[in-house]
Parts: sequence; structure tokens; C-alpha cells
Amino acid sequence: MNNSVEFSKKIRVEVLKMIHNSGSSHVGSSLSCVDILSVLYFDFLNINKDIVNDPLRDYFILSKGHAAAAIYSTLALKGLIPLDYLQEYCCDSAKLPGHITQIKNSGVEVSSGALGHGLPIGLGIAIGNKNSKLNNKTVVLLSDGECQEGSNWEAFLMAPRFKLKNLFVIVDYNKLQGYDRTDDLSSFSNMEKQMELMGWNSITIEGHNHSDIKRALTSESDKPTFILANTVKGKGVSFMEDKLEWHYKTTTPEQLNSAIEEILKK
Amino acid sequence: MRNTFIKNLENELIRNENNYFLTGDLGFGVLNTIKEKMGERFINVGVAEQLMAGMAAGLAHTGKKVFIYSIANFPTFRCLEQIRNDICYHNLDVKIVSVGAGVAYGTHGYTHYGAEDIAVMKPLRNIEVICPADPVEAMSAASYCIENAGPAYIRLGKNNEPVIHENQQSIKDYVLKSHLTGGDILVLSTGSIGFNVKSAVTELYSESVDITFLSVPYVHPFGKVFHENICKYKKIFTFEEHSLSGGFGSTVLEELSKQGFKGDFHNFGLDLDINEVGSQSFMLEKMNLDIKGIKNTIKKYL
Repeated sequence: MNNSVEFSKKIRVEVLKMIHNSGSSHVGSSLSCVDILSVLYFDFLNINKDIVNDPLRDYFILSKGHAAAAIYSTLALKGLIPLDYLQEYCCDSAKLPGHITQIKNSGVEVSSGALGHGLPIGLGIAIGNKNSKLNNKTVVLLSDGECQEGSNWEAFLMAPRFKLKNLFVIVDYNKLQGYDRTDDLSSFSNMEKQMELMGWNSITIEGHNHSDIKRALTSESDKPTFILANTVKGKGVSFMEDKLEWHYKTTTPEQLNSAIEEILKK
Repeated sequence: MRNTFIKNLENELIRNENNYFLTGDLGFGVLNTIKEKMGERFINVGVAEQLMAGMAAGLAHTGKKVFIYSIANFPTFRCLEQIRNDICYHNLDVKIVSVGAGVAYGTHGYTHYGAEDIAVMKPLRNIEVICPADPVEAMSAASYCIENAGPAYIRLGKNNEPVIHENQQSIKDYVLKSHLTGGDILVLSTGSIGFNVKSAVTELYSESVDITFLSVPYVHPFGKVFHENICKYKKIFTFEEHSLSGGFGSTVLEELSKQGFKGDFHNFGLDLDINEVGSQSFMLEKMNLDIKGIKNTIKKYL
């Protein structure tokens, strides 16, 4: 793999395969954040097999825990969890539960799935590390629907006072949630401005553009960074893109093949 | 009790850089010393209990020992899922401290009564539940928190609880030190109701009733502390400043059932359907949990 774009294609293929093989949901939610994960793990986070338990490592928390397939695939391709674990996803005696579950020595720091938990945890980790005079980064990935959970806003309000320049919060703004289009329920289109007013280094990006993602992550600021990433649910597979039903559906064998072909062709 | 608990933590909290104390915007007059002396390790998270519990989990992930603090149901019910998933399921070193057990905030009404919290905390994975009865047990609870890692719920009273123990034990050992031993009647209580219970039992003992009283601050896992052969008793009573559903009495009953207890069991606690509001002593009297009420209750079943 010589760049994050190649990495992202491999992640997408593994995501499609593992969700298909387990007959499970959340393929749309997993695909929309693959580019973000790809840039994070290829190019940004200081985390690998050798330092997986080192207090100096960077921390990533998948707060949108239903995108488990995406992070499991990413970590497997990066050598942090065994590749064959991907065959045991969301099934009987599963090594990899359907919502991200902590695995020791793997870079999966926290079990999540109930939404709204990851950010307060990430804030605690960032404060603990900063007070210990460590320079490591903490990155938390939220879904857009998840931003309706009040616990996030408790963290959004309180975080700026700690001056955590190493805390990064990314919202995978794919505009579809469990049962409606996100902006029909609560609009996040002004969230960049809202977060800036609350004291965050606030940036909107195109969430599938790797340069954009990298630029936002490396923007210099004394404040914690908030990144609103405009994404597409099901990104990479044209028949899935921006469709609510692909929050839930599993591919048929034909659909799986067609999806993988489309990704590898790009 | 609350001040004793904090005072007994103070030195360690201040001295050990690994210790953090989070409060949900409460602690005036109680937390002043640690607020002043712990520096950045004392954090007022504001009126944000889900944040408090989540942040505590995060800090614990980086190896800290964290206390979270609020009153009544705020550090428990408000952030229950955070305690369940983020703290307990991950088996993190976070101590959840609640002040105002039972009707300690009596005049403030139901929103400030800790009446169901034991029931709600007990089932959580990896958790220990500790309910001190007096300042002496509170000191033991503080030591226990410092010396042991893992999730724990510490249910404190408020203030002016009379002392019921002459000697301090480690928190799990109070059940070994019975007050008045004799006969086949056992009376157990948890929390500050222990003073009323002990007084009532003492009066009965002086009226020649063969009766044993134990205060049980370490409520859960109860089976871990109660080694004594509980089945030797013919009658067992439990008292708590808590709902009858799922609290201390229920905990004891679960253990009795496991051990095949064949005797009589009676548990007594808060009956908030009385729809009264008043000081703690007023409320307890109304619910027959004052000394006279407890004594009469026990007598009725002898």
C-alpha cells in the first residue's frame, strides 16, 4: 500500500465482505467513514503493533460503534488484529461483536455502540494525557445522528476550557440516520459555526477527500479541533450511496461482487 | 459522614498524582480543601453527570484512579448507561460517590431521595456497593477506595450520623463484629438507619430477647462477606433506608435462597407512598423506621 487511497479501497472490500458474510447491518455507516479511517491510520495516528499498549500512543475512539466493520477492517489491514478475525464478525462465538468491543492489545480502546459515549471518554483520555505531560493525540469519530445525544453537548461545552490541542473530534456527516434524513430531524449544517462560537478550532471538509482530511487534522491550533466531514452514506458503491435502507440491508452475492468490482475499478 | 469520608481521602487525593476527583458542581464547604490543593486533578465538570462519568472512564483508561461525586440520584441514575458501559463493563478504577442516601435530604422532596439506587447499581458488572452507616464505617470505606481498584458505588449519608462502632474494621469485616450475640434472631441493616436499628435491638436485648444485630456496609457482592452460617437463624430481619424492591433486603434474600434458608425473613425499608415531606427523622418516624417503630416491628414478628 503506498497511499491512503489504496488503503481505503482495501478497507472497503473487507467491510463489504464481512458484512455480507455475517448477514448484518450498517454497511452504509461503515463505508461513509472509511476515508477518514484510512487517513487516520495510514498517515496520522501514532499507533502500531509495537506500541499498542504504550501510554505514549495515540488514541482513537469509534464513538459511532455501529461502524465496527470499518475499524476492524482498518486495524486488521494495519496488522493490529489478525486478518482471519474478520471471518468471525457478528456471529455465534464472534471474535468481533457487531458493535465495536474492546480487544486487548489491538488498538480497540473502548467498547461502544450506545451512542454519545465516546466523546466524554475521549475528553477524559485527552485530559489525563495532557496532565501527564504527554503529547499524544486523541481522536473521536461521531456519527451525525449521534450528535443529537445530549452527552456530546456536555462535552462540547466543557472541552474548550481544558485547551486540548491534541483532541480531535470528527463528525461523519453522511446526512442519513436510523429512520430519517438527519437534517429533517435536526440540522447540523451550521455546526461548524456553532462549535467555533463555543471555542473549538472548527473546520468543515469534504470527508472523502484525503488531502482535505489530512489538512484538517494538521491544522495548527491551541484549541481542540472539531471537523465536520461531509460524507455520503454507502460511499464507494453507487447502488448504496445516500440510501437509508443501506443502513440495514445485507448484500446478495451478486450485489457483493458488483460492489467489489466497482471499488477495485476506481 | 460525608465530611469524614472526604477528610479520610484528602491526604491520598492530594499526595498521589494518579488520583482525580470530579464533581458535578457540588461540594461547597465539603470539598474546599481538595479543590484548592489537588490543582488540575480536581475538576468541576459542571451540571453534566453523563460527562462526569464518561470523563472518569477516560481518565481511568490512562491509568488514573477517579472519584465522581454528586448527591442523591445524580451521579447514578443520570449517567447510568455511562456507569454500566463505560466504567463497569470496562472494569475501570472509578468510585461513584453519592451523598444523601435515603431521605437524608428529607425536606427537599422526592427528586432528592436516594430510594432506589442500591437496586440500580447492584446488577452492574464488576461493581461493589458500599453503604456506610456511620463515620467509622465511612473511614473504612475511604481506605477501601484508596487500596482497591475497580468500579465501586459509595452511598453516603449526609451529616450528624451518630457513631455506632467503637472500633474501626476493614469494610468487609463489620459483619464479623456483631453487636450483642445470642439466640436465633438476626437483624441486619445497611446505612445510617443502623443507629436506630442498633438502639431498638439493644432495648429488646435488655428485655431479654435473644437477638443479634449486624451492620452491613459492604452490600454487594454480599455473598463475599457473609461467611457465617446464616441458616442457623430462625428469623432474619433487614432494615434499609431504601425501597423494598431490589435493595439490601433483596440482596440478603438472594443469599438466603442460595443457602437454603428455611426460617422467617422480613425486610423493611422506605414506603414513600406515605406522601410526606419533612426532615430525615420526621420521615423515618412516619415510616416506622425510628427506634420505636423498628422495635415494635420486630416485636410483632417474634
